[in-house]
Amino acid sequence: MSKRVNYALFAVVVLAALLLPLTSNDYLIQVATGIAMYAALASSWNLIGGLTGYPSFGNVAFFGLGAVLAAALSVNLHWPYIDAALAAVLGSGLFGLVLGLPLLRLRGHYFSIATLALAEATMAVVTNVNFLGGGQGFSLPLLGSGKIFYYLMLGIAVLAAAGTYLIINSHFGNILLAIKSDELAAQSVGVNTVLAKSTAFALSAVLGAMVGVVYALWQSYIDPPTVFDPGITVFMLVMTLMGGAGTVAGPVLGAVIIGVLTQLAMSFSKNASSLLLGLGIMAVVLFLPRGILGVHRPAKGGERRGARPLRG
Amino acid sequence: MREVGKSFGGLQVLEGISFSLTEGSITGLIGPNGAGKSTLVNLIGGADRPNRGEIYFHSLRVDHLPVWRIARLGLVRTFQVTRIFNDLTLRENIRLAGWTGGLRGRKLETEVDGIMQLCELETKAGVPGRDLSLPEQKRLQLARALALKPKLLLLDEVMAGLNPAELDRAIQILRVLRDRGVTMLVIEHLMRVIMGISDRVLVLHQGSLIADGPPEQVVGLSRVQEAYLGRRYVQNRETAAANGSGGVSGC
Repeated sequence: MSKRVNYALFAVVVLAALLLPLTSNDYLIQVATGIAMYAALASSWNLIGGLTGYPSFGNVAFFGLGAVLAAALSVNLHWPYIDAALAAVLGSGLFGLVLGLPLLRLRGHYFSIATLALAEATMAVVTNVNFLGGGQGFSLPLLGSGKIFYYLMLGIAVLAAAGTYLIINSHFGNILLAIKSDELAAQSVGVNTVLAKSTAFALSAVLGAMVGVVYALWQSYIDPPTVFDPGITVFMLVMTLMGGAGTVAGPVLGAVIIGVLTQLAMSFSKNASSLLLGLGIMAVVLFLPRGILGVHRPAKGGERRGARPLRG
Repeated sequence: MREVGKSFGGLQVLEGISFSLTEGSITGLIGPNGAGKSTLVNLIGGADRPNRGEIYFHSLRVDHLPVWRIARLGLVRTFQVTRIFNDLTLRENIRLAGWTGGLRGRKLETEVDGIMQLCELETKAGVPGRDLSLPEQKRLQLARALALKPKLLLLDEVMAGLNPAELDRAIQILRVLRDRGVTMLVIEHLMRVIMGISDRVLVLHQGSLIADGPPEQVVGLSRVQEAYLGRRYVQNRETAAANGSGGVSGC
């Protein structure tokens, strides 16, 4: 696809999304808000999992921390929510940067398990600190109509997609792709891989926290099991992989497909959505290892990598 | 490099290695399989740390610096098994190195063009790394190393697997580089290459340096022949030589 077609497609999708609230169907808007939220979350996961090749299983920590910090600052310290939100986003980004330094030394499964533990540990800490709401969580004042939250989530999703586009087409994006291809080779051409990976992780954290901050206000009630649900990370991951990891539109596409399918399945039975998610994961792994947008790229080299002889 | 040693667990891979390289020269490093050649390159390039000894580049001690910092000093390596960036195009592969080497904007693009021309890769500029053939990947590794403006280039079997025509072109490239003043340490199994381009040859055997000198002299040493061909073979030959046929002389 040429650049012009991509831009046009992007404009059409954003315009359609902007016009959606004209329907004034509350149910539809609520579903769309959820989809926009997951599009943003999946895009944030894509930065570290898709572009850099570090499959994080703990990204919900940033979402949850963003929500909890913003709520804590506004409820306990009576900060205006916008200030609390900014501080929460910055705090979560810093959290990602600092924890990225040790965690990103691990690779593959080890990294995945360590990030999973990070999310669980963050939840445990939050549950035991009263200032952060403890096990009770926070009630926030109800605010405005659902449309506001739809536009906010949509805005973050657009920001995430545009940011991903800029990164992919920048030198920083090339560095991340180089790290994904071969980290030692990246170091030997002078790339400070620790800094690059931690930056990607922190950016991912910032986006995740932005979504969390809006989510807290949207739901007006949050507690640790909800905002630190590991299932949220799984959704980010599956959506990105289904749409096409490392692409701009992949996470968004995955969020729309899975979001719509889950809603359809929910109308039959509540458990049907889990079943569908499971089948979806299997289908992606078996038939679309590179995702829907990844299929036009030749899979050549993948096998070669697996069969690569030992170094030395 | 002073008294460098490396062991993996109980296995002593390198022991008491000391040598220094003259600026602007090509030094060949040879030795049988398992002699420790690639380990030596890993130590110099920072991918592995020595257990003993010190490594200096100019007057700076480098054996505890991270790999990327060593690369930015101009001490650049290639890998025995090609390691290129599959998800980037050939041009992006080279450009990435040029960028970390400090080039920006038009200067960077000109430099990348020049390197692609030298390595005869211009026609493949837009091809993703994963779709390049092995000889192309080998040349890309070299091209990427050059984009970093190396002062010392460590070439770990960049020529293995190339056909004779490709080999000649690769040797040609190394000669051009030497004329530009790049110091090189070349690991190669192909004696034709080593003899043809080296000013000096180091021989590594079972983790120790057993010879150091001009190429013609080094291959004549019986301990070098022993390392490659076995002690008995060399002894038999020497006996035969002593018995009158003349020619091969010991050390």
